[in-house]
Amino acid sequence: MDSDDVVADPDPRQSDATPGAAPSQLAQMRSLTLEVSNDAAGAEQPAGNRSLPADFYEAADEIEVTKKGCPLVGGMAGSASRGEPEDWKERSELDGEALPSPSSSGYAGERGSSGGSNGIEEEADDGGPLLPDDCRRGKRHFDESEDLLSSYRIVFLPDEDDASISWRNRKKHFFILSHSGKPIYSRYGDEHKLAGFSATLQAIISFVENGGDCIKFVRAGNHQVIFLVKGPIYLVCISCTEEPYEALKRQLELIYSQLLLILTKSVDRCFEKNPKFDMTPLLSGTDEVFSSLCHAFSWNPATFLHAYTCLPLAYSTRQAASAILQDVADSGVLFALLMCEHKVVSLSGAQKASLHPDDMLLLSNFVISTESFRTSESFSPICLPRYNPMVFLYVYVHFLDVDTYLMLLSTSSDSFYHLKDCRIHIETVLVKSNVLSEVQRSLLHSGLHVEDLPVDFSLRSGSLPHHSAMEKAIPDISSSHVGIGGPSGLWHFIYKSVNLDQYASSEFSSPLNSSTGRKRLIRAYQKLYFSMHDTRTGPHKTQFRRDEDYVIYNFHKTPNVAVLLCWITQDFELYAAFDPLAEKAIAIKTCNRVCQWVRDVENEIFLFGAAPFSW
Amino acid sequence: MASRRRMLLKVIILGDSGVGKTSLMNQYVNKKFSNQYKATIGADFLTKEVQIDDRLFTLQIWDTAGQERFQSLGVAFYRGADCCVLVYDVNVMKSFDNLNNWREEFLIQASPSDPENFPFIVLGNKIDIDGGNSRVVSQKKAKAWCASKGNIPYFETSAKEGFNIEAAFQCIAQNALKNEPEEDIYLPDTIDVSGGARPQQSSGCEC
Amino acid sequence: MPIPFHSLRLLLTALDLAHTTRCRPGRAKPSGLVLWDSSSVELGRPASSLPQMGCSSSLPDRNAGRLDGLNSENSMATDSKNIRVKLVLLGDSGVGKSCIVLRFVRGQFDPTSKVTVGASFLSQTLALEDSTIVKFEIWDTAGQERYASLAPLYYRGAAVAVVVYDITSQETFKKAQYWVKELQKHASPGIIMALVGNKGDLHEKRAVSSQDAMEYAEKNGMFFIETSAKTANNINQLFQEIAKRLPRASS
Repeated sequence: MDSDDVVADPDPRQSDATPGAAPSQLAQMRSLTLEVSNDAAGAEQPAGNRSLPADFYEAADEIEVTKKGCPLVGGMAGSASRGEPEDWKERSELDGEALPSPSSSGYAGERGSSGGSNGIEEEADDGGPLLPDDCRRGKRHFDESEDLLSSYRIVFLPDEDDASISWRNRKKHFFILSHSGKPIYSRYGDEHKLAGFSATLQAIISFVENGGDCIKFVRAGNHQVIFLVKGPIYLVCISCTEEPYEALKRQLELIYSQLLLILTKSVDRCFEKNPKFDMTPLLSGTDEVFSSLCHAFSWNPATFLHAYTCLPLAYSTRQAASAILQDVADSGVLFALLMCEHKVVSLSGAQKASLHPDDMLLLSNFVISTESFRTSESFSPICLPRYNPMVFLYVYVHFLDVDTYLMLLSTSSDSFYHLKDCRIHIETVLVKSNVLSEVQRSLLHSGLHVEDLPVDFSLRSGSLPHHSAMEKAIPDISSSHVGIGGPSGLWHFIYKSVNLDQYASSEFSSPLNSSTGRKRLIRAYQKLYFSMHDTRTGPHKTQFRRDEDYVIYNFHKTPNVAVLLCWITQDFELYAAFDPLAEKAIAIKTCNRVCQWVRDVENEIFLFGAAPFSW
Repeated sequence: MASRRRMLLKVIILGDSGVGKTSLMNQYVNKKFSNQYKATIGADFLTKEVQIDDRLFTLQIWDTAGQERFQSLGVAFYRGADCCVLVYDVNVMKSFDNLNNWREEFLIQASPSDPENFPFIVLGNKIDIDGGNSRVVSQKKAKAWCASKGNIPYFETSAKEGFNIEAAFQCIAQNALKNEPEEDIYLPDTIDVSGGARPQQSSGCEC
Repeated sequence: MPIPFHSLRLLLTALDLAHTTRCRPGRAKPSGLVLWDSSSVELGRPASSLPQMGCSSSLPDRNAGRLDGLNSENSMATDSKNIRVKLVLLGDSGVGKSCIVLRFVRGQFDPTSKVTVGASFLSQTLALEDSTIVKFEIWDTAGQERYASLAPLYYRGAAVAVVVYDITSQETFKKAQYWVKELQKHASPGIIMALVGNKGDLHEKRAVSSQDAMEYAEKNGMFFIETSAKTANNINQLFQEIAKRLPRASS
């Protein structure tokens, strides 16, 4: 059929560059990029396998999907945080560079067709260039540039494969493949067309495995390749986003957990029984679930914080919701969750049952990204990997309105009618007590705005300034606050309560208006999170950073170097972003005020009484 | 209309160095490809779509290095193969004699569940050379060997002229279709939650 | 498209079959067909969990007693004009099961395909000419392979099974036959089975002949109909024909 459907080589041009790599660089790479797994008994390895032949690293360089001319850079797994500042710049300059088209790729018209959307392309970042949505078989991708959950821009793509420029220009690839090299999932492109590529990945993993080692990480140019082996299932991330190794590995772990949520870990047995096993049919129809999770990595702090967030609500409103959910939990429902978008309204569980924030993240991602749940009430088997990765639970899902949905989990496959009764009961109570309308109101008008950070504590009200105060605040923002952010140059913050496994974050406001700016901030927080929790350098208490790693773009696309401050105590973790001119002393003072503020309104932004949910 | 469910087949090409495996593949996928990985990790990888009736197959072809140093690529390499293609040069007796080794090597490493009936195919390559005058392995001899190993389908090919290659790969897909396993129903685990309703707390906390 | 005369005969056969095993009024088991009392909330629930899926709950099963209560409450309902019936749709992924249901229940057709996860539950009432009111409680199951083992969850206790295939795909017809066998082995003996060839509007791409499907249906005591959820052709007829075949409470 197509002449371009068979290419195992991601970048033929690269092969020319390989011999140019100095032997010393290769040697350096050998020692730096491959971490011997802890369980591999080094002393007992056959001598011949202790170190890999140098040509393996040539191969490693070949799997990079980067542009021509990238120097071979050896980088230790842990040292990724050193990062080159350039890598945080907009990728678009590079994307715009004309690249020689692979011969007979059939994508000759590509540049022309996307040329008109340059402005969008610049924002597309991970998403890469937009392509005409003329292909019905193309999979859906969430455009990274879009704002949170509410308005995905969905890009339909033709069958990209590893020969397509658009595919190579993607900033972050995720792959799932089987231990025989059969493709299971690829974030971009058609899995079958990437069969040769996934075979290559498996061969690399196996090659290292044969030596008794376990490949974890390869750095090639400005790309990182992260490997995660989970029994018969291999996960690979190829990224040039300069996120730390730990962050990308965590993302792979979440993707794996999402897979378990859909299938349970008993899928391993299929491979034991039959190594030829092709897993793709089992996952049919779930592309969207994975795409949405990959997208969440760039906007949802829950993906690295190990915490969930609540929709701000008056204490009494949340209490009303909690009471009815607890009733239901006492009647034999394992977990009852009421959520609005990705935020928790309330949740409740049977005695001794505890729900991990990661399971909540993956469950809500599954429900939100699956259209059929919105059509009618549903009853579906799912697995909560942190609860028990081996078994299916049963979830009853019902959308109470466009944004708000109820999930009732049970261990019994017979529970549908009971759960349906419970839902009818819950819905009646929620409507009667106005919880649903409050939820809608909160969604539109509530939230923490840095502009509202109380300046003087004697004036503090002890409640969120929503409703009446909110309406006043709107013209305020548009006039005086533009480009300034909150008091003392505070742009944004995330406050995580360690005991509650919950976090609260301020709404994004000027100058973080652009989605790219927001994404960069989230990535900066993520980087900070992992450096704060780095076990090798010991957990830090505070960090105040003003370095080139944290370039955040304002909506004019001029680079601004945000100042980031992180403060970790036994009870909370605070991550805050400040105007570049912010002084350290004032920033610290402001952080104290943020903490005080959060404590003042904690009844509204956190869910209390969910104690059994600690994990 | 394309078939609803595509099938992916992992096909391993084995045979002595120099029998023309790579040029066969070049011919088959109708695309020049350079040896990218063969020298480093022992194989190159190609994909090719084949249609039989209304079923669409994707062949994931592992073109291996025939050199000695890669003879044992290990279990991982052969794992989950759906078909194994054995190639020899009709002008080189040794390459034919080695077919047995390659076959056994494969069966040992891949340890398929039913080794007797594992789908192999044999290709006698380079039949065009010297107008066939330098040929040392007769078709009869090759067919006899194939018959003795459980009626392995046998094709004579010429990479130079693209002779018979298409047919050989059609045969691979057809074989796979014939051996398609009864659709296994995916059965999740049956662990009794009542015994273990506690969450597995320590299992995977990476923080 | 009118119902082929031929299939009417099959329908009668199916009806006979259903009658021979029909349940006594008010009993949910074994066919799951129950009389409908508007005051009752739910009935026709599965009798017991499947052994292989059994995750017996660690929690007190408080609802068991309660539902028994509902059952007995229902057994008092004697309104023979109101029938409540549990119906399950089975078939390969992408044949248009959800589209059929949404066309029937909401009169909608959405060409963008949405994959069903697990199973969706919808209900719709249908008034027959003889003024009988039938309330269909419909389980629209997911066609994906990962849920195949869970199908018994949904078809257990169902009074009606609608097996759907796509007339443009032989493969889905094969899958339909798998479901028929499965139902014959494991479903309630009195279950009414319908074979539905959907996407009738794509007749120019037809891969399964009506003749073949009809013969298969006849052999297996099913009734057969071709529908198009897109054009709404034969959708209401499908459910009307099912309704006609339901065993009525003895009056």
